[in-house]
This record gives sequence, structure tokens and C-alpha cells, in this order.
Amino acid sequence: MKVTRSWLENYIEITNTTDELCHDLTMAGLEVDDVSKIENDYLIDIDLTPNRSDCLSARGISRELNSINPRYKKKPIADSSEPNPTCKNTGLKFNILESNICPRYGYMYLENVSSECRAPEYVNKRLSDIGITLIHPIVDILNYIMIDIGQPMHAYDADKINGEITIRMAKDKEIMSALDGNKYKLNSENIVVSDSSQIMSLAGIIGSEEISVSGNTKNILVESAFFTPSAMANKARILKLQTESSHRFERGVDYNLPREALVYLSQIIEENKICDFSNIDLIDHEHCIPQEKKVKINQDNIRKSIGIDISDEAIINILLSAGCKFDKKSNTVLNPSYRYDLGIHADYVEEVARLYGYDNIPVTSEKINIEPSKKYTPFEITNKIRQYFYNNSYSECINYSFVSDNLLENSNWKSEDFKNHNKISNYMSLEQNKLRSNLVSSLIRNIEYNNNMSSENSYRFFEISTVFSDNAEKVLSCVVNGDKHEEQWSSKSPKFDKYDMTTIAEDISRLFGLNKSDLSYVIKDVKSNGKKYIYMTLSVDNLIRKITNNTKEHHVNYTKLPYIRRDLSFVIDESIEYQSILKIIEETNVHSLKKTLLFDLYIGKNIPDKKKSLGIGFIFQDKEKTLTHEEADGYIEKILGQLKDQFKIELRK
Amino acid sequence: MSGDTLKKDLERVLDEALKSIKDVSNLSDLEKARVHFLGKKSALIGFMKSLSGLNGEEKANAGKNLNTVKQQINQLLSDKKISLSNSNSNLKDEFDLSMPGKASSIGSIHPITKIMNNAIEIFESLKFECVEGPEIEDDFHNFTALNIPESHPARAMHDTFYLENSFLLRTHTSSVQVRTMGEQNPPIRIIAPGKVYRKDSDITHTPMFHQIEGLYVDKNVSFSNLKSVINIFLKNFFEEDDLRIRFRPSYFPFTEPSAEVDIEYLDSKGNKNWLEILGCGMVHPNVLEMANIDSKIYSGYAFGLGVERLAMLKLGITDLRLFYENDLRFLKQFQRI
Repeated sequence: MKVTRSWLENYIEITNTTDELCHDLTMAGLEVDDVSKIENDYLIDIDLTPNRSDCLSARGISRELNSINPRYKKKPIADSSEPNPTCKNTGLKFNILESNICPRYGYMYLENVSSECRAPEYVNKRLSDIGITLIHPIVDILNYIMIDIGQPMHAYDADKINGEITIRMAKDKEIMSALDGNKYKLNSENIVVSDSSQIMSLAGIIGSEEISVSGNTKNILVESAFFTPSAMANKARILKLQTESSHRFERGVDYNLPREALVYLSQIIEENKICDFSNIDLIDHEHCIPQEKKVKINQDNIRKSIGIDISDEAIINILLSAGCKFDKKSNTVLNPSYRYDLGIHADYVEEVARLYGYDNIPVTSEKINIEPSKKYTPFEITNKIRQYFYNNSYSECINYSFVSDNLLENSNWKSEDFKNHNKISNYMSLEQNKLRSNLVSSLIRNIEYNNNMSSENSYRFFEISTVFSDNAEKVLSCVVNGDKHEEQWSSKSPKFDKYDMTTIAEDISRLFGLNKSDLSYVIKDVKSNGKKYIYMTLSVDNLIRKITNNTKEHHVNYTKLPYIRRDLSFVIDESIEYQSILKIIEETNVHSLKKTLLFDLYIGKNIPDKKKSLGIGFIFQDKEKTLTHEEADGYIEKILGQLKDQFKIELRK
Repeated sequence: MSGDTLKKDLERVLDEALKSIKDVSNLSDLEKARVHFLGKKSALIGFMKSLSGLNGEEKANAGKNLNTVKQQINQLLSDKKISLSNSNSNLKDEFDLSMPGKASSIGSIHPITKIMNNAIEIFESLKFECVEGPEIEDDFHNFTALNIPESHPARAMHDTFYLENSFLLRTHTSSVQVRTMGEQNPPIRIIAPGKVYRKDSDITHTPMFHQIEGLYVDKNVSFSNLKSVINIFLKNFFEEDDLRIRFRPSYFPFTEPSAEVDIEYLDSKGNKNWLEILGCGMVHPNVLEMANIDSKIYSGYAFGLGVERLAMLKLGITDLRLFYENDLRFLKQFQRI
């Protein structure tokens, strides 16, 4: 809402600087976005919240300033009597089918509008000052009145009206050519003003092209109606057609304004001898006009919920200054007809707090009798994981949850053939038309982006976020490419391989006292633009579930007796998983076996095709006595025997 | 010399080679070891010569054994050579304090995460519990239960992404308020950090961003308490005891009274300006009632912080898009713990 200082001064005395004025507005919730100096005046742009439709006019803002601080003294109200009409009402018929939507319809005629007529200079000046384009003297005056007191009006070329005027719901697919030059296809949700042959306007939003006022117009029908906010809500937004008029109606225009606005119009016309004007006619459906709401005031509640020490009387004075009516006997207030935002008690709590001044409300520290839970929160868990990656030279990325159709993104993290995307129906661009099912493709893109910017030889990225497939699931992905560590002087870095990812899975399980087998994860590699990326994705949701069921960390006694190590190097079928070897070793039930340690894996020269060579160290230690070498030999024989039986292994010499 | 004696001798040589090669610490010593074990005057060559004294089968076996040991020693030597050249062990005894160390193992945490953690820690110290909620929401939790009915003009302020199944991407973390109040009875004191989505993309908006929502519902909660919590938070967060803070009336459908909070900051020209930093207010009685909390007994406050905005202010970032480019030159700037 734009207004000039001088316009406000029509209604109130302003003795302070414009900066101070703007500060007062801002601190009362009418946030001043911008102030600029124009000639001898100031243009003030106020960012009004949607609840304050009463301030969508110069008079409304002035009224508000007077409530904020009585120093903004009201100036005497101008004469509001209706001047004597100079022409007749031509007797058009009106049929208001939707009286609940339009409970009050006011109108008057203007005749003998000449192409020579002019709007008063102050109208043109003030409209131009706030950036409203001048169109036609009558239309400009209507716009002026809207900005001045808040009532949107519309002017129709009266000579183009055919037959009875009806206010009705539009028919499906009815087409209207609006004043903005666009054609709108309507449906039965839209409200229209029409005559027997055409749509005259989309009620309260915009007029139609055919019947609009132009330079040749001789006679004009002026409409000054009240459309209920609930009926107007969303109507303009659905058509993507916001106008000054719809903006006001959907937020709520004072139902007492239609007549006042027409009186105002006739006064301006008479005073400036612009044209002839008729008397004012109002078609009312009284029972549909909003009622003022009576609310019982609970002064204690107001004091308590704001946290201020204020007398009953001071509370009532604040509400009176806001234009409310107070009944002492019943301790109730009535809202002014222009304040749609005052309807329940909480609204009055806010009104008192606002006009008392938020800055004047003291700061009172809380007495809290809550003990927050001692459990790990999901956030703490992910933070510990982040810390681990940080300590291992990984960089955290955060990517948009949106992705496009793209091969890499067509796989969710668990299965390659994922097709159930969560598509966004009103996406902004094809690059962002669905929700990602994995983090890996985003991270690969991050590496590619960085690789274009610089030429590092080592990339380590991770991200923790929710991915979307059949369900939403929080996952962690880390993607690596190239050397294990950055270029340095002391040794050449090996390349990353998948076992580096295994280490991460093992470390994470250790961080939370779990086993690797408790985790739900995948380790894979993937090629993109000729480069190989190795990645791991782990379900954080699963991890959190596992941690929740976890037992507490506790100490286990250990022996200080010496240990004996025996190593076995053997050749085994390549296809046999390490896990099944461990299982067999475990099944030998050698209790003194404290630890097995894989120290070598070799495939290649000197090893037969489809075989691999493993070196495993066995550490034996007894709880009660010092082991002898003979005992250790016996154990290793037992283990070896089992391995030979199960896997036909061959010892390497 | 018999085959058996030779076998024992060979084992001894191999043992010796194992030990001495292991102890070698530089390439020239390694060459000496090679000459010692495989050179012309080495024991192995001596054995080779003595083979002639053996007969057919014995000679063949002994030759084979001898060759195996020779190969093994060769392997030891070449392995050692690789490990020595990798570790530049020539330098081992000399240490230059001013030399750079080996590759660093410090990575980086995304600034959004850092700022979020920063804020969460402060709120946790004020006894708020950190909870999370779903990013895909239904209309009820995102709008209706927050006193934003279908026809409400405030819905225009939230440009919502809808999914094909009529669900939507939450436009604010306030939806977590609703979920928590549905699951817990007062007193409730939570913060809910997370991603939110709005159909908006320009210099000052990204379609995805982060918020932290706070909610406290109990008996006798006042606006004055809200001021206290926000003051403590902002002064802690910006590490400034004298930070100037102001509360200004605003409008949100789910709070009443509602406020926007500004902090005073110095712009690049050294002028003092107010900058909007968060929105808050007393929970609207309709919101409490919809969550089956008696608004006559309980009251509460709620607040919502934009994490990107906090991060930009605290870290001096001027371009919002940097957060989502994940450029290492950006990410690595925030390596401090």
C-alpha cells in the first residue's frame, strides 16, 4: 500500500518527521518497506499484513496512526451530506441472485460525461504520486476514492448495457474478455455481474473490455458494492488475476462504505462540475451483511498472556482508541465494521499488546519444569556421523531434493530398477520435476562440478538427507573418486577402492556399539562421463532404530596372559565369501581363539584361475593359563581341518 | 654334503635374510644385503657349487630347494625396495619442523549444518528437545491445523509444491508443531529443524531452504516469556551481549499476537539498520484446540527461524545460491569445528 505523507495529512496532524512517522507505523505492525522523497512530499510504501484490510486506504492508515498515538490528532471530518442529484436514475433493473455474496449493491448514474471533462488536479497528482496510471477522469476519481477511503468501485458504459443486470455465478466455460486484455475461461465458482447479453465484470475483480468506459463514453453506471470476503477468497488467485479491487474485497471492505463512496463521488463531481449525477441507490440484503461481534473481555487473561501489569481501565482505553465500542455492564466489546481481524478474545489480546507496544512489554524469564529426554535424538546421531566424516577429510554437501529425469537418478539406493518416483505436479522446471530417490547422483554431480572448476585428484563428499521412493527414508551417502588422499610429498596415494567404504561402514557401526551386520547399506561403483565413482549408502533410519534398541556400553574383563599367533596362508575358491570362512572358524568352537585377522588377499600370478589366496592370522589366548605352543598348534590343526573339509583349501608354502 | 644338511643350511640362510633385510633402513644397505645373500661370494653361490657333489635325484631336489630360497630372498629384497622408496626413509632421521605434514584428514561440515547445530545447541541449553517431522506432508498438518483454511489469503504467501498423489512438500517446519501436539500432552517444549520447500526461485529465494521451528506449550506461558527466550537465543547466537533486538507486530495465521523480530546491524557503509531475523508469536487458540489442547488452561509460543538467513548474517555470505552449489572453495572455508 502506497500513500504520501501529505495525503495522510488530509486526515491527521503530523508534527514529527517522516522517519518518526514510519517508525511508529512499523512498530505497530504496518511495516514500512520504503520511503522516498518526492518534491515536497514523501512516498511511503507499507507492506500490509493480510489481516489489516482496514489500512488499505489513506483514511485507514490515518485512523490507525491516531490509535497508535493521539499526537496524530484527527482533523475535522468533511461534510458527508449527499448533494442534490442533477439527473435521474434511468431505472435499470437489478437481480441479485447471490445475495450472500453481494449483500449490498450501490449504484448511481452519471450523464453527459464530455470528452472535455477533467478530474480535479489533486486527484491526478495524488494518483500519479503513488504510481497509479491515469485512465479516464471518472475512472481516476473512482480510483482516488478507493485509495482515499478504501471502497473499490467500477464504471460501466451505461449505453452499452442491455436489459436486466444480474449478479450470478458464471456458467462453465463462459468466456470473458477483461480490461487487462486477457480472455478468461470461467467456471461455476466465479461470480459475475452481467446483463442480458454479456458479462459486465468479474464481480469485485475486473471489468470486461466491451462495456468499459472510454473517451467517447457519454453515460456511466457506477457500481459501489459490498462483496463478502469469504466469497471473494481465492477467486482472483485461482485466475492469477490480482487487482487493487480484488485485493481489498478478499481481505474485507467495510460494508458501510458503498454509500459513503458514492456520496463522496457525487460531491467531487458537483464541486468540479464534471457531469450530471443521479441519486444513490442501494440494494440491501440486510441479513447477509456481516454482524459486529460481541466479545467478553477477560482483563486477567490479557495481563497474563502478554505478561504486563496494566489496569482494567487502561486495557479498555486501548480498545476504545482502536475504534471498538465497550459495554461496561457486560464487560464486552464490539469491533468496528472495518476491523475484520477482531472477532475472538485472542484478537483483543493482540490488539492490546500491539497498541501497548511490543517494545514496552517486559522480558520475563521462564520457570520450566520439563526435563528433556536423555535419549540420543536423530539429530545428535547424524551429527556424530558428520563428525566422523569431517575427521576423515570428507566434505559435507547439501543438495536440492529435486532432480530431473536422468539415468543415474532413476535408481533408488536399494534397487537399480526403481520407477516409482515422487513427481511434483506443479514443478518449476524439468530439471526439478521430481524428488530424488538417492543422494549418489547429486554427489557425483557435485564432484563433476568441482572437477570442472579445479583439478583435484581426490574427491570425498557425503550428504545426509531424506530420499523419496515408496517411502521417505533418511540416508547417508558418501561418494569418492580418484586418490585416497590429496597430493603430498611423502608418498603417492593409492586409489580408492570399495574396501575403503567397508571401513566406513565398520567404523560407523563401532561408533554406535553395533555390528556391521546391523547396518543396512550398499557399496557399489558407478561410471559417469568416463569416470569411476565408488559409493556407500547407508540407511540412517535403520541405524537410529538399531541404536534405540542398543544396550549400554560396559566393561569386560580381559586377561593379561601372553598370546600366541599362528598364520595360515591358503588358496580357496574365489567365490567363497569371507563371512562364510569366519563362520566355519567360529563353528570349530576354539574358545581360546581371541581374534582372527585377515592380513593378505591376493589374486593373480601364481594363483590358479578362479581362486584367491588368503592370509589369516589367529591369535590364541587362554583366560586362566599360559597357552603352550603345542596347544596352539592343536587349535590351528583343528581349524585347518575344518577349512579343508568345508572349502577344499590348499595351504600355500 | 648331504641333501639334508643342505636343507638345514638353506633354512638358516633364509632365516638370516628375513631378519637382516627387515632391519635395512635405506637403499644402500639394501644393496649391501643383496650382495651378501645373492652375490658371488654369498653362501648360496657356495651351495650351488657344492651341488656337483650330489647324485641324480638328490641333486635335483637340492637344486629345487636352492632355487626356491633364492626366489624368496629376491622377493624379500624387491618388497623392501618398494617400501623404502615409498617412505623416503633416507629422510627419516632428518626432521624439518617447517615442512608441511602429510595429507590432512580434516574435511568440512556444510555451513547450513553448522549454523543449525549452533542454534540447536543454544535451544537445547534452554531445555528444548530437538524433534523431526516428515518433509512430505498433507494439507491438514501444513495448513488446516495451523489455522490456514483453504480460502485463507495467507495461503497465497505459501507457494506450495504439490505431489501427484495430493500430498505436498511442507512449506514450513510449523507442521512439526502440529504433529508433536498430536502425540504429546503439555508441557511441550520442542525445536524442529529441517528442510522446507516453496515454489520460489530468485536471488533471495531458493525452492528449498531450512528452518528451525520452536514451540512451548504449558500453563501460564506469556508473550513476555517469548521475548525472553528470543533475546537469549539471539544474543548467544550472535555472541553479542549488547545486540539490539526489537519485536514488531506482524501477522501469521497460527499465532496471535504475532511478531517479527529485527536485530540491529551495521551495513557496509557503517549505517545502523534493522534486519528481520525471525517470526514468532503466541500459539493461536484455534491451533491449540485443533490439537485437542484446552486453550483456556494452556497457552504457548512458537517461533520460526530461517537458517540460510542466519548463516548469511553470521558468516558474511551474500549470495544464497552458494549454499547449494557445493563448491569446495566455498565448503572448505568453514573448516573450524
